[in-house]
Amino acid sequence: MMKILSPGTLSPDAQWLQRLQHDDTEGLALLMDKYYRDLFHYASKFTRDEGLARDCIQEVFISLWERRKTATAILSPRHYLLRAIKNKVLKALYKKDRVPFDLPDEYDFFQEFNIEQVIIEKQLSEEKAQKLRQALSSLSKRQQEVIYLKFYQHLDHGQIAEQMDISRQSVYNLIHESLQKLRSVWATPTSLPL
Amino acid sequence: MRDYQSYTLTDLMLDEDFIRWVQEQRPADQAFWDEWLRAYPEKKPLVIEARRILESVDIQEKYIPKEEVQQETARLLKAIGAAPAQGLTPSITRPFLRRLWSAAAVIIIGVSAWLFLIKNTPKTRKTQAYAEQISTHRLIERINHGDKPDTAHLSDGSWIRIGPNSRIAYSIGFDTAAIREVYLSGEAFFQVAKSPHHPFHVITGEVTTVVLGTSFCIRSFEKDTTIQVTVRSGKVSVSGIILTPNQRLIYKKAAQSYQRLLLDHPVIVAPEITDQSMVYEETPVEQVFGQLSKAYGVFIVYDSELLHKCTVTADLKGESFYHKLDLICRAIGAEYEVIDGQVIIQSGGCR
Repeated sequence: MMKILSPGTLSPDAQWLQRLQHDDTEGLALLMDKYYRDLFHYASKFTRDEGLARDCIQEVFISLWERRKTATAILSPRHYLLRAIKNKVLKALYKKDRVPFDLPDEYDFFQEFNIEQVIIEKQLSEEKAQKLRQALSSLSKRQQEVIYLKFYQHLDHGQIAEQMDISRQSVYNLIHESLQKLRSVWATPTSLPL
Repeated sequence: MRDYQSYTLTDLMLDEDFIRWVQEQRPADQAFWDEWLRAYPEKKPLVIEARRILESVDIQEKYIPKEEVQQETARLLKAIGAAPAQGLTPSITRPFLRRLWSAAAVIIIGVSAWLFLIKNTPKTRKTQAYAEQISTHRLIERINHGDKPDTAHLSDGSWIRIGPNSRIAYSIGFDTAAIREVYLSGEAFFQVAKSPHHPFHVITGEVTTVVLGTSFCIRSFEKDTTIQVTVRSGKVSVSGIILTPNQRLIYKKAAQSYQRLLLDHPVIVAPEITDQSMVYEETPVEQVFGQLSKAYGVFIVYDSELLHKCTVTADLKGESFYHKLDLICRAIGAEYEVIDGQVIIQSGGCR
């Protein structure tokens, strides 16, 4: 009996995109509701202007609504939206209106780590704590972005490459270098291959 | 199949399954990585190191209240020319009621089902995600006011026997959600349909029990000072502690401590092993323990080097689990202890 209530076997994302395609505004509202926080957090990495971040999110969803007839072609709304918000924010910041839009070579990435929290939770010694602070602060902006997209936005290897406009090999290298810095904190007598 | 043999630290860190295991601690992942480590024991230091690194990177994110999300959603709907009241925001009363009526129409009359929203105060990143999920799911509640158990059949094929004065709640799209979540207050027995990609969670106050396909019982009345989870078959994970059949976990609310016990009367859980087959003649004790362990799903820990010469001649048919253990131990001059829900055999060996 209850089965009647379940809308089918599609993932919620896919269902919402389908509703969007059928001009159902609730599909759009549900996507917004699910992804707003992730998009805001990602947008805040590029700008400290929260008003700008909010406006860009609005624009991203308005664009999505305008292209709703082809919405079901979007395989991963998360990836689509993250890519759109990054372009939107950087475009606004660097006033580049060229199409296609190229990512600027250098752009900010404001990221704060809960270092003290980790130190308390893991009961790190003063020496290790110092090493951790040092390792995290030595990460470059692009290394931080890779880590963020991987650990926090859960994009896959290929999606990160697309998101950052770099090759898959570069993604791998950025992760590899970041890990090299971080593993020094936990350095054990037995060295392991990276 | 990925080539795990040559897996490096970087490969692990790019592996979405690995990250999910560390960050979300799902039981399906736990089982996979336990198996993985058994297959590649030499990779254990690598896994430990990767976990440490992953856990040491904690990114600070601004907390965004639900009101902001609702406000921005309303703004969006206005911008595209849709009246906000027809969407889901800012007030959720309307779809909420609509769903209530459609639900009432199909749920068999006599079942007291209604919808409500669970209040949740987000604390960490994880519970925050959970709060978000709750806010988009309307829940069906089912209460057993009677003095006999009442059975609820869920859309995924699972069923729940709800004890007297107990209640459960679950969302309408329960079986299609990434995680099948059921809230429980009181006591209930769960028979969970297997669905590896949709883990089954039972949320009882501060304790969440995570299940794959299994049957188990939870007792969590608000007036009780403990929350108890007892496993009949399969495996569940409670706050990261794995419970196997015939084990019970007791969570003491005041002390916030866990204790794992073996039941007083363990039952046979492996249907392929019958009690009748437990007759042994000069049988190596390891084989006897193996069968006992499998039959009851209980871990039996012993030193196989010490015991490899021990044999057992005994008729264990119809005896209780503990009596069987007694008889075996007597036969080989050993003693047993139950620690942390497992049986530990102590013996000086046999000649």
